[in-house]
Amino acid sequence: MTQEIDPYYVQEDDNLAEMAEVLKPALAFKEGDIERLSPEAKNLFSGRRHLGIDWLDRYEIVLEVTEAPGGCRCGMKPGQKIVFDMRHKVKPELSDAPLCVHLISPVLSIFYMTFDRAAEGLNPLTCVWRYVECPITGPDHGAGKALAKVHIRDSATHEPVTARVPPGSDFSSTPEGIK
Amino acid sequence: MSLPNEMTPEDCRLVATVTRAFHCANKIREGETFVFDHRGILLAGESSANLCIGMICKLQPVLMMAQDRLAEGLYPIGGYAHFDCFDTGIDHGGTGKVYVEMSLVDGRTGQTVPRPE
Repeated sequence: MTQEIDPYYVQEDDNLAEMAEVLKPALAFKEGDIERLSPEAKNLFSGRRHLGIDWLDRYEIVLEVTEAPGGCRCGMKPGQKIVFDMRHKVKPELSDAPLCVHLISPVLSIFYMTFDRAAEGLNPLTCVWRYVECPITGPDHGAGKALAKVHIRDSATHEPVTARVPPGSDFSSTPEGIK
Repeated sequence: MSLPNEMTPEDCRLVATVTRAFHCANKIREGETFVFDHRGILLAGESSANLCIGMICKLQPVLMMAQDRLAEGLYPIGGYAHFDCFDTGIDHGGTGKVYVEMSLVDGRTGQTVPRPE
């Protein structure tokens, strides 16, 4: 069934022409592969359209440990951080916390949201889900869990990015405006 | 205890080796590795793949299971040894896909430790 797609989003016949030459080598796409992408996958790439072609390089996500009472055996300490690029890769050279898979796991959902929000022209970091915790609970009902908070920062200056609609976004130019 | 050569849990390296990859935006390629210690700490310096959490997070359950199996004196990798990343691939609404196979490596020697018969 064909469904109408809101004009803000990538349409069925829109093959991301302005970024195709970047995407093809980056994703080892052959001729016709962009056309094979679903509209939803094309929306993933449309963050470049709505936030600027360089948005993936412009920001970093930082997980900062806020509490580590000691129940966790991974050696987390308050103030330590794990830094990610916007392609959800760990940047070990900027991280000083143990790269614990258990504490990192909840962050993946936040990255899903970054792509969704970029496709809407919004600050990539969710305004809701900024707190994460170790998923391992233990008999102390989680009292020993490592806790952390996530923020987004400019990758060049390391200044937090707090604007709902960041510079370079086309969000305010949409006909409907904020709904 | 089924770990050979007096291996301790601290000697264990749980290694996810890429067996197939296509259209991966993080340029992960076949043969590259993600290396973890027995607690599930990613060892960036021992890993050769780009550290994409779309793949790494898929391994969190098997790394918990490895702790459980080690506590029971078992070989840390059980029947679930093959995993793929969270991207659903170009033919199912996504873009790319990475597949890995888990193995046990002795951190003292770098040698793969085969599953006991």
